[in-house]
Amino acid sequence: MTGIAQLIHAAFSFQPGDFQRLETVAPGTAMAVWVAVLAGLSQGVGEAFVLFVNRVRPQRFVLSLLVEALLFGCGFLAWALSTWLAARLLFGVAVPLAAVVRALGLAHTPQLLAFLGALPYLGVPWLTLLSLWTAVLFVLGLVTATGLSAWGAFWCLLSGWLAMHALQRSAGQPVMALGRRLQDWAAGVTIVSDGARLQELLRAGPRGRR
Amino acid sequence: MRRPSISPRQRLWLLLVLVGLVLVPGTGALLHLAYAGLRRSFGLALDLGLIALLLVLIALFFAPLEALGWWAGWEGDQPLETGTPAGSLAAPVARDRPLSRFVVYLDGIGQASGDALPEGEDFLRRLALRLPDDIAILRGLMPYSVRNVPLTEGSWLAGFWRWVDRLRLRDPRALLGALINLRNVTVVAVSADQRYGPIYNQGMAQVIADSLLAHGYPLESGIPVTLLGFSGGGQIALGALPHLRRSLRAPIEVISLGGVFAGNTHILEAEHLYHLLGDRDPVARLGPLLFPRRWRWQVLSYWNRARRRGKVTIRSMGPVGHALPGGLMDAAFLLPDGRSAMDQTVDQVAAILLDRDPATALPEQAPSNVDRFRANGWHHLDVGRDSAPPPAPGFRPLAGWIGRLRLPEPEQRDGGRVGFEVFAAPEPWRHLVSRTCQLEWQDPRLGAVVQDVNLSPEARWSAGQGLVHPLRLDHWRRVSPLESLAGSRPDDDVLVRLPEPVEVLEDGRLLRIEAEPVQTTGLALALVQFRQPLGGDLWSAASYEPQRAAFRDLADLRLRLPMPIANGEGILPATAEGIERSALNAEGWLVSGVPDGAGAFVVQSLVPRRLRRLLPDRVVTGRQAARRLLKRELWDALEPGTAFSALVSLQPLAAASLAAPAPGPALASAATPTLPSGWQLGERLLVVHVFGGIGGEQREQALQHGPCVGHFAYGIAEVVAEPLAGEPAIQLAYRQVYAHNPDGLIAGRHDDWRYLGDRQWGWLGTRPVADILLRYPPFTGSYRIGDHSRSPLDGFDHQLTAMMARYRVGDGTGATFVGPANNCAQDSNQALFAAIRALQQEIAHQDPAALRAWEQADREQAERLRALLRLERRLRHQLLPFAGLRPDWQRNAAVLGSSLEDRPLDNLLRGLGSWRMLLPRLASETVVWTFLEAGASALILRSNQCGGEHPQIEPVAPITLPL
Repeated sequence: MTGIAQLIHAAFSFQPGDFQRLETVAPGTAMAVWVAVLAGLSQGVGEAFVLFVNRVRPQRFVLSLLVEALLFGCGFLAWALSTWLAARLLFGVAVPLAAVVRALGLAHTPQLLAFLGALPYLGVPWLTLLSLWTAVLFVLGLVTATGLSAWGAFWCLLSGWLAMHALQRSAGQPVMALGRRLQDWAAGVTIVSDGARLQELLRAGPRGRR
Repeated sequence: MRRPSISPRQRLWLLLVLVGLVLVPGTGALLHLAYAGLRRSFGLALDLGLIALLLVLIALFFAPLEALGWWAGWEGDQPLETGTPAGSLAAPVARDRPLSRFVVYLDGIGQASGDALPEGEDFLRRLALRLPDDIAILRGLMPYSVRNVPLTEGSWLAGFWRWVDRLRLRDPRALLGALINLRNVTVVAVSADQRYGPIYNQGMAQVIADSLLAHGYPLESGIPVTLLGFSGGGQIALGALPHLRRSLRAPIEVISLGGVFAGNTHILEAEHLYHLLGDRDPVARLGPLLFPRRWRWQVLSYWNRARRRGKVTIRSMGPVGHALPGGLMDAAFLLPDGRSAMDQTVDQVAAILLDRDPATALPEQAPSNVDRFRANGWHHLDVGRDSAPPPAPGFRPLAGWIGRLRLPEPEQRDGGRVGFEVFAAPEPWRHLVSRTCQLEWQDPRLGAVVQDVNLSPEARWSAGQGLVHPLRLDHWRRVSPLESLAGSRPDDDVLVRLPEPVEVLEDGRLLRIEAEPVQTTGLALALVQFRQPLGGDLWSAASYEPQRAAFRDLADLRLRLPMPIANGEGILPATAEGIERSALNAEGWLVSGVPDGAGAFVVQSLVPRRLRRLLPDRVVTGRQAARRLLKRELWDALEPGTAFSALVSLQPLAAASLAAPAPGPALASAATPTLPSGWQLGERLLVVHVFGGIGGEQREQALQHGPCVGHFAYGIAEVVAEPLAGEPAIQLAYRQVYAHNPDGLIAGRHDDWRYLGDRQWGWLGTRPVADILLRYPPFTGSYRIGDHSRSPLDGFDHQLTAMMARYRVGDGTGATFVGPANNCAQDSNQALFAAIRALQQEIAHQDPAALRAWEQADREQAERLRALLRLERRLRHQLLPFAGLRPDWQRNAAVLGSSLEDRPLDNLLRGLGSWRMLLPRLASETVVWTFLEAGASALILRSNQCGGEHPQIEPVAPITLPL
């Protein structure tokens, strides 16, 4: 737990110096994945509003949060992989995959506070702030792990992210569909999550989902 | 309004400093240092503060759970019920007459139980005493619980909240009492949240609606509702507003007493928001500070748009604070004028509820053309002069009932009726002439367009520029379409004829009509030829004798053609110069006007007989020739002072059939009663009207920097027997969907005597005009279903009537502006689209078996219906090729021409969704061609600046696209 506490402290204090020191004492790759899973759980709580709108029952609600956390962890690994590939193929940096996972895990530490996204009125700007924070931390983490310049790390991050989304929409479709089915199974209903359809559900009133 | 305590500039600096603090390296250390320093100095107090902050965050975190649980159905077997309808009436209400308004009180964040705070209850008691008993005040709702459960009841914490409430009531300054405020503030945040708000506000709207219904609110009655919210109740009221409006289908206004509310609530859907604000109220001022959508630079937020559209009135309450002591409801706190703060609040709220709210001062106005044209005495209404008998034989009354609309004084309003000063009446009601009766327009379908009118700042600005807006209706509630017709201009100078049937009630004190009065000019008609000027504005003339089918000089027929007043651009609306030499004089003119009181007749309006005959100059058949005429030739011929007509059909028309006697009822006095093939007396026709621009030496300003767009309107014509001519003729009334303008032209039904031929107010003398009369029995005819008959043309007429009523009051803002998505052509055709959809839905809802039986019983009707459905498909495709871009057309929504500034891109996109209706001429070509392709025939009536010679101007054709 000391590792995690250190990690969180380093991330939240936002001190580049601390950050570099952390790389040397950073917990292992497994812990980075754990951070991601916990961040996923926290984010699930922060955005639980979607589950409520879909009228998910209480037990299913808890199950859905756990499934979402797991799926978030998988997404995290996919992003790490695509960034690692981007670093190797586009920038020719032979960095170990584990280092990228650790950097990304570190970057996800602010997301542990994503549950505060559930706060009324303050929640949405808070989540936006956390996203920016995560992006900046990831750039810093990647700079430390790979020795790339800040811009190089930024482009690396962006390429990895774009590659992941391109994959999701092409070859990754079956995997995505599996994830959605898993979510629907956990929730006990077909989860509606895109903005326009959520608005429709809200307009239809609570009876609209029956 | 007082400025907020922190100016926008200060707020920006504060933001920059905060961002800087976060971003500058070493901030963490600095904060740590600051914390350590503070802790050393304040120790326990600082810790307590941080604990309090943590508690606030925890309370906030769990605040949405009640609403979310309610929505998700976590509350047991009956998850969707909001509990028993709650609340009670603050005072007994009238049982012997209908209630005129319901007021729902939503208390501030201090409310813990089913009762408001003592000062709130006191306020309601005083307010009830000031209001008549036909206004019901509903109290006792718990605005901070989506299930309407007070803190002091129901939950496991109820005992705790009861204890805190008792403590607080004993000593309002007790610190623990702040816990109630804190808890309820979190609910205000839920209501203002973009994710939870729609859920919470929907639940709250249901609570309010259930309570209203339980206390006698008649559903579908349209009785207006006022949500009266104190403090946080302001947010709850505005949050619930759109949902409540949807479920009650009633107008809703909001009065905020020191309300704290966000800027993302749908304020635009309120009839009006009155925000009463004390100068020493720090709490209400948190709203503009904490809610970014209320910041001024958020120009497209609901709050800022509502303010620009005049939907918000912010009223200073003087040196008053928020809560006790010194707050809006402090009965012990005296103001400089000797009243208590409580009395002042009660006075203001009662004045708003009783329609006695002082209207905002109107701006200084530039003179409009209405002001200029007033100088023309011959176009003033004078019942003594105008109702005298015509000075010579050869005249007939223009209509049975003609009169001047008189807008009632605000305190004399009576259910939407207006005064009607009778200028002409049929037997046996002639004795009513010069009396003023009450006029009632009975059409329950128009209830949806009865609206409160509050002039927007844009309307005020526009009025200052010389445009004519309904200034007299400002701050009027529930303005009926008849009141908007009577009150659209600065004075009572709207002359109308009443369409039949006219029901005379109460011995002539009340006239009841079923259709919109038609704006008109003159009281008597004649068919004349001008002979020669007699000096001044007098002319000798010949009158038409149908028996001889010729004009005959009458010694005692003297006509006056007074010089009209030029408009603001110096352009004369009409002249009499050389009118006797005009080519149109040979066939004669239909003139309308009044006696001058000295033996002559004042020609107030004239229309060439050529334009009202059913004898086309040309017959055009076949696709290519028809297309050529419609797209090119129609507007190529632009010689001033000319008019022509053409009969068009894509199918061949036998020339012989044109000259054949009319198949309809014979005209008793007709000398040569001929009608185009298939056209019958009594038949109704759809009119597509377009006018062009004024060019030449006195080119109108609108054409100085761009092409002529022109104007589009629909109308309905009828083939009638014209006794003056002894032949069938066209009688025509336009349905003008016309934005506010400097000429005082009021959106509504217009006779051609008014809109076209009027020598002061009409367009015939200055503009090129095309009226295309479409005969297509599947659309213009009737269908007999059971005992009653239905006509698609009537359905369309109803849609246009509603649209015109909305245009007159600008959907309550007092101004309708022209943009790509909303203009004469777009909105007229939205009405056509709505009529088509209504018909389609009506047919879709018929029992198929009954429909088949009906089709077999009358095959002619069934064939027509099939043709109509084909037309409907074609029109839908032509009018709305990109349906997704015009959700307003799909829903027939009330989104009238606001200003372009309101979502400019959206406005343009919506306009493109029905792009063929963007330009008036293109719209007319599209609609006419669609009808022709469906098998209609069309009579085209084209004219170019008819009347006297006017060499300073030239006709300009409106633009179109070569499609």
